[in-house]
Amino acid sequence: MQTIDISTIYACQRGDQGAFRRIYEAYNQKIYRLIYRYCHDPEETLDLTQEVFVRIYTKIADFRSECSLETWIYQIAINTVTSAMRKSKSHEPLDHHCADIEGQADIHIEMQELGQHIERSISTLSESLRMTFILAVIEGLPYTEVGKILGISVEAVRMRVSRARHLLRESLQPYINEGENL
Amino acid sequence: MKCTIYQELISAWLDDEISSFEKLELQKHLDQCPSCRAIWKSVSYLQEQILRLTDPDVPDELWNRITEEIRKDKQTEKVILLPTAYGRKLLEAKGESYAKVFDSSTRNINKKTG
Repeated sequence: MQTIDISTIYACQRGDQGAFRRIYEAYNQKIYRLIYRYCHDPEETLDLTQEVFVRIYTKIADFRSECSLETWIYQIAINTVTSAMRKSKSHEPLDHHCADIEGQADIHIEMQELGQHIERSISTLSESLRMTFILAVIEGLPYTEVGKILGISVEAVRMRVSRARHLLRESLQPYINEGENL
Repeated sequence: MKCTIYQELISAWLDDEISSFEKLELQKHLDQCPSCRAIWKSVSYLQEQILRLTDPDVPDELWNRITEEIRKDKQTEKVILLPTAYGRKLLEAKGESYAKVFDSSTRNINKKTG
């Protein structure tokens, strides 16, 4: 991944298209992946990632290095995604889906399918748990960084991640048992 | 401590967000509690599978879509933002009506986009 130095940020703030391209190259995969894990819909992911980068371009002049560029970009992505999801209200919390997943009695799945079940279960976690879990566990960001991005304490991050793991473990337990016995 | 607290420590341990003291406490508890040991085994397995998730490919068209959107925004911005206070002064200096020029600009845009 490219590292973005301060001169690239300044150049982008002056409207330098090449500098913006470098920022795009450095972050497009992270942002696309984050949004995909969040909404689990390729078309929606494409639309929202586009919106995030347009916002980055139009707001970069306001970036003041009070936090890292990465934190700032993640904050834009999260605001874009959560406000879009609130408008569409298409994602129900995990509790509504547990019964469906648990109700599938015949569990002879390949490991690839477990991945799909994991993705689906993550995408149905409640909004706050989902985003915290994706940033801390899938993206592997330190809890302090996740706290800064989401504007919550490290303790709250820790609690949310643990709660998300607990819900995922409950909903995926039949598959976990199956996998552990392989 | 209650088992729920240890379960939070198990989660933090998997993310390497646990102090050495907490780690020691957790290890002691796991030696004594089969229920938490089973949870530790399950979430560790789940963690392994999560780390194996395939990353989605970013579609090639994304960059073009972004630049196209920015270009469109800039076009709109040019015409809509032109009649600012400074723009008005310029127009007044020329003896033209702001409303008349602004209406005609937006009509031109509507023609192009319509």
